Amino acid sequence: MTATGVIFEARQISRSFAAVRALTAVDLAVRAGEIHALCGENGAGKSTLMAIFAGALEPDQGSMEIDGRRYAPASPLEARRAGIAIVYQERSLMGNISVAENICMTLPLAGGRFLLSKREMAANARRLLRDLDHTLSPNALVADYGIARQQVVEIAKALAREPRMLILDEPTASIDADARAHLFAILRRLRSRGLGIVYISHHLDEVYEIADRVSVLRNGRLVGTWPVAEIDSQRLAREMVGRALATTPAAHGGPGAASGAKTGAALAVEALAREGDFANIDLAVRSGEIVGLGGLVGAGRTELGESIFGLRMPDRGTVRLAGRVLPRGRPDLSVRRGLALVTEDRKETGLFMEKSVRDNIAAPSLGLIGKGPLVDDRFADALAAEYCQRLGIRTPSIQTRIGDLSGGNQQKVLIAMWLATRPAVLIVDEPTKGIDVGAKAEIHRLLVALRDQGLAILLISSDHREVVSLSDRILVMRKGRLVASLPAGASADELVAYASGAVHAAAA
Amino acid sequence: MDAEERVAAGAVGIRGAWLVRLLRVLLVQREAALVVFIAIIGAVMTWLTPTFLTVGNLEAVGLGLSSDGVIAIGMTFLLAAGLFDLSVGSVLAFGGITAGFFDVHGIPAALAIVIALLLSGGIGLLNGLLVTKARINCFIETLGMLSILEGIVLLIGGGFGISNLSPAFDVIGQGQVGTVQYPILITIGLAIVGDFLMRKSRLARYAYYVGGNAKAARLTGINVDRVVLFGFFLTALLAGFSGIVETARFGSASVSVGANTPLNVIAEVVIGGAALSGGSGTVLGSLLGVLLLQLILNALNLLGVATYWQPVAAGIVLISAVGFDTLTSRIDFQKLGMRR
Repeated sequence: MTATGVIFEARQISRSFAAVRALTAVDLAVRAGEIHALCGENGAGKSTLMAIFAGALEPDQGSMEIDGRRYAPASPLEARRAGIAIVYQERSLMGNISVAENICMTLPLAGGRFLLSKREMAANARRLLRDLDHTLSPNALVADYGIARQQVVEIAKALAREPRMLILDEPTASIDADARAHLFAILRRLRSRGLGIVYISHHLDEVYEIADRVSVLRNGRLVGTWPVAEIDSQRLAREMVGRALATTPAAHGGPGAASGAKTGAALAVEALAREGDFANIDLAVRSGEIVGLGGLVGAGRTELGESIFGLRMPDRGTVRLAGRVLPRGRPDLSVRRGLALVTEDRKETGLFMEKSVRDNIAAPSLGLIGKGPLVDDRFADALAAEYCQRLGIRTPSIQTRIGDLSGGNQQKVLIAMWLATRPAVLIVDEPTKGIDVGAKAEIHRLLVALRDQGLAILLISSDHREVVSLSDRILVMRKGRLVASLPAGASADELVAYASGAVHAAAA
Repeated sequence: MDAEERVAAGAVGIRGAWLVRLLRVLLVQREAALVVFIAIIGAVMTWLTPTFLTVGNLEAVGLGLSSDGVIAIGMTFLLAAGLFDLSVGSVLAFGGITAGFFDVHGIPAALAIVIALLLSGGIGLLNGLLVTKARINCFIETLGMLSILEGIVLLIGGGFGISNLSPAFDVIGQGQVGTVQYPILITIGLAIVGDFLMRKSRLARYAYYVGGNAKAARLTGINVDRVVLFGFFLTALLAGFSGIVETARFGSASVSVGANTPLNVIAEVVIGGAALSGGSGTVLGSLLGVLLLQLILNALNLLGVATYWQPVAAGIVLISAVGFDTLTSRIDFQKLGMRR
């Protein structure tokens, strides 16, 4: 630690990839015992900067220091040895081996023996988990634990080599409010021990809740570093994006404004149930309406959406589109009848990551367009070009590989894919997960515009603020059942109250 | 030139700019690179021995190409969908033996051939059903089928195979148009149709999607099982057909053909640009891969190398081709900063 309490300092870091400048002269300093938030849109350079700190990439220019000593790792291993630990957004744990084995993965085996000692590993794990979550069992398989607790294991693994600095990349991306509170408690404890923590997040409310200082990256440059107490959220968002944002519900033109919700539901679900996931679900969505399905992670909303669409088979109940019963378990029929599902995990189940923008956008439509057994590529090209323009998808060309685009653009392609099938009903699951503030606002505007054009939208999201600001009606799901129905204008707190079971709706 | 090429061109100097362009085309377009290699081998062989560029030799190469080539069309579809079929060699033998069996037992040649084709297709359907409905891993399932058919072929054909086929039967294999023999024409014809369909037909497009991300494919409404079923059906059908043509060519059905076939064909299709994980590959590329391998084997023959070296050569070519692929992708990124 230097005299000023700085444990890590990066100076004038620059990095390019061929013709693309990812980072330009970035300065960042992290002090002992602070939580330093890093904010920025997708493509701003956060991941690149962290990769450089963690030894996965080398900077083209610039230097780094740890405790005043030069730090220039040639590999992630050297970074770990030097005291920098990072927890990436993607899980790095192996589900089929134990918690202790995962945690000790990066530790050298003691004494040069080549036999592993389960007892020693369990003891190590127990020691590291003591402050984090003592209910985790070192000998249990990681796969037996849910995402939130697996994340605690990830943190323990990162702490195994007693780092000076811990970097967390979007740690709250897929965990619920309870787990988040728990995580923050852990971070505060680590902070009081003198650890320097870099916290990357899109969620400005979290930044204000947990961070001491915040740095903003925009287009590869450092815009500024401020103590959190000295900058308000509006300004912070503006610094990130470079322009003012509309973030209040009023800005979206109010519920069901334009065409007015028509009678007769576009989507009607009756008594839908699936063992282990949800039971007794009745809901309806009208044309020109956004119905928000709020709840905590694990409430069964994704399973419900998939069952309505036909990706999963429900045990009981019916789904009707415009009054007509939809056969269960037939995604192809659902698409043909005008129902579309935008899944929550675009990488795993949504997009074809190795294929081009055009191939992705055209995929569900292939069965609908063109004559006969041949594919009409020109039509597909036109379709892709049309939707790229409509949704403002930024891509060098429609032949670009989707994996090369930013998260926000990938999400837009996913939505375009399904819009191209001209659905009457759209189910969107976590439409803005893992994307930056600017793209998030664009997608919100898009959903509202679609609603105004007459689409019936079922919005599933763990972002309570998002649900509350976009929906004309809000349904709350908890442990597989619908527990509340809230009108537009309800607050996020109300939603969470019902979703977490803190409040129970009065009968009838 | 686009931005990336400009940067790379700057790295090698202005005079090297066209070279950069060429390199990029070669590295990215597998077919182009294959044509270059084939041309090089052709040139070298022509220089080394006068026998290479003779009608007789080229015919031999063409015939060798026709056997693997037909099967490669089906295998291209399967690999695009992320699967493969190890039983093709046995199906090839099965097709020939069955057709021969019916032929010598008095059934008209054409009918015998049709029956053999139907049976081969049926095997393909069985493969497909076991993989899709019973969810058996395609490696295990086709490996098992390979063994089963090997036995059945021996049961039908006995130790020596079946000979004395009717003249009508032999026509397919031995007839010719001008100087070009039927098998070669059939292969080229099927390849042209196959390439067109792989590029343009909906089912083939679905196969690429399935190979790219089977879960997402299912979500977009693609009937994944149907695509897989068709892939196995087509491959086995073509394998059986290839066996029938082989039998017609030699005038007798052998029980021991096809041992190296699955390995060779998969290697040829991968050389042609298909990834084992699925989602890519073209019939044109596969046929070029077949031609490349056949030329190498032919070269070994002409140069008097013992036939035992042929599987060695095939293996080396396969490893080199895939190795070349992965190495060049890494070189691109680090040295020149080019993206694929």
